[in-house]
Amino acid sequence: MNDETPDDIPTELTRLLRNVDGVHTVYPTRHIVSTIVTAVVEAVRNDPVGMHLVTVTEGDDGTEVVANIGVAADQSASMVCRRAHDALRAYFADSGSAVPRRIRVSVGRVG
Amino acid sequence: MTETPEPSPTSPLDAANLDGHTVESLSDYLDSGRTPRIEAIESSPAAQNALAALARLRMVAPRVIDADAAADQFAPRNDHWIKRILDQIGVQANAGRDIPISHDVPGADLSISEGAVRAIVREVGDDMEGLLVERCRLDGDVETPGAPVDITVEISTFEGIDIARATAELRERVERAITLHVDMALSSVIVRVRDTDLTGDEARAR
Amino acid sequence: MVSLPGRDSLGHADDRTIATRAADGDIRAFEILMRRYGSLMSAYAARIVNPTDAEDVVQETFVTAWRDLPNLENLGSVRSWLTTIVTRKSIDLLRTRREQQSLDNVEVEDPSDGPAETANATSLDEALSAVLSSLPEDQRRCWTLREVAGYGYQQIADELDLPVSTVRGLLARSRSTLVREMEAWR
Repeated sequence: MNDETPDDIPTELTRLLRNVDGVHTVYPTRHIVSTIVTAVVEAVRNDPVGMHLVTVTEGDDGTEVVANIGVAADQSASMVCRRAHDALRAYFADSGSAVPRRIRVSVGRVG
Repeated sequence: MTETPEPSPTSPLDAANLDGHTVESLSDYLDSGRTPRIEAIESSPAAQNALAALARLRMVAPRVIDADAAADQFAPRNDHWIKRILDQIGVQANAGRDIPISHDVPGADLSISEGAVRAIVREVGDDMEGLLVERCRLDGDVETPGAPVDITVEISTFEGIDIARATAELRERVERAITLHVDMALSSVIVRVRDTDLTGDEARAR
Repeated sequence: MVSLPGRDSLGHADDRTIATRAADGDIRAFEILMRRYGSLMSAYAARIVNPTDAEDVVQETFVTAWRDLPNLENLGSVRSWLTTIVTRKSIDLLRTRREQQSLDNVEVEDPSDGPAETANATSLDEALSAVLSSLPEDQRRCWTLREVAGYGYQQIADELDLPVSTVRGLLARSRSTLVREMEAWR
């Protein structure tokens, strides 16, 4: 069975993150420098079609969301990170879906 | 062929000028550092000429590539290649450890990478005059909230700046930036100054 | 007295400083490194693979360099370290091309550029560069690996999948052509 949700949720979440105040970039959540470099770069370039910058995984015990963001230097990176998390959480709550079991947001770059 | 270069009519490597030797054997001899000594080569003026020419060619070889580079002969026509590489390397290489960011919501797992924190420190240094942050290290159990962390910053300074003042200011700015961005129990900021030799000849002349 | 703003001075900093920053994860420093050595790496690659493949090789070179830079001990020697990588990547690409060709079973024509146009050269280096371009590809490749990258005959033979005797012959021919031009400049 496919353990990933359809493409449009990660894409929507990526768009949503880009609109969070203080977030300037959404980075891919997979390792970049690896044997699949080309595939990832394609994903980044063909933005937003087919990209999985935000990863959403369905497990037996719930959904897990993983995102990696770059934030502006003029606001607290921690604050922006919390804001990004809250936006992701609200997306699920507002749409009436179950709130993910885990939402991981990491700040990969400041400034 | 419209443009005919004017090569010398003869070359020291022409078969007729090799005194019975071959370019192959002379090249081998040169490669072996001319040992063991081969009398037939050492005693032949023609072979000596050829060896000298081969040695000269070897000397200028790296310059040919440098000349290509200087003339941008094969350089990409635009900067797209740089952009493509930057896209590929992204932010995750060298990202280091994850430093947790507290958030009192169930299921929240927030963090900032060590690499991002080092970048903050570099940026702080870059905003100051007269110094460059070279390296930055976080010591301590950064993955455990509240554990004390030391930051060591290695800098180079430019000639003529007041090093004591600059390091004190850098320390203070780093503390301020870290406190703003990261939940971290910063116990100290150590600034180490490398020799002041970083920008070209003027600075090196010291 | 030199007192430059840090932000602008990074571009003028020496290799060791730039490489140290890049090894520490500074993408901006790495970009400076790419601008500083992109042309040189392209020139290297273009003499081993064919020039149209050089850009791919350079790209691979820098992606690898970014990953491995933290392990480079002598950061001041980043330039020669990069040339080692670009040579390696060039050879890897040749191998891939060879495998593709043997699969496709196609004859590849030799893309040498024809007679050298050295008439416009204003220096020995330029003239030799033109002659090098005019050499058949396999001669040019062997010569570059031997004289610029410092590879031995056996190593070249292994990497290019050629008999040592062939490598020796190719080198002798390339040297004869280049020496002829060089002597014309004496």
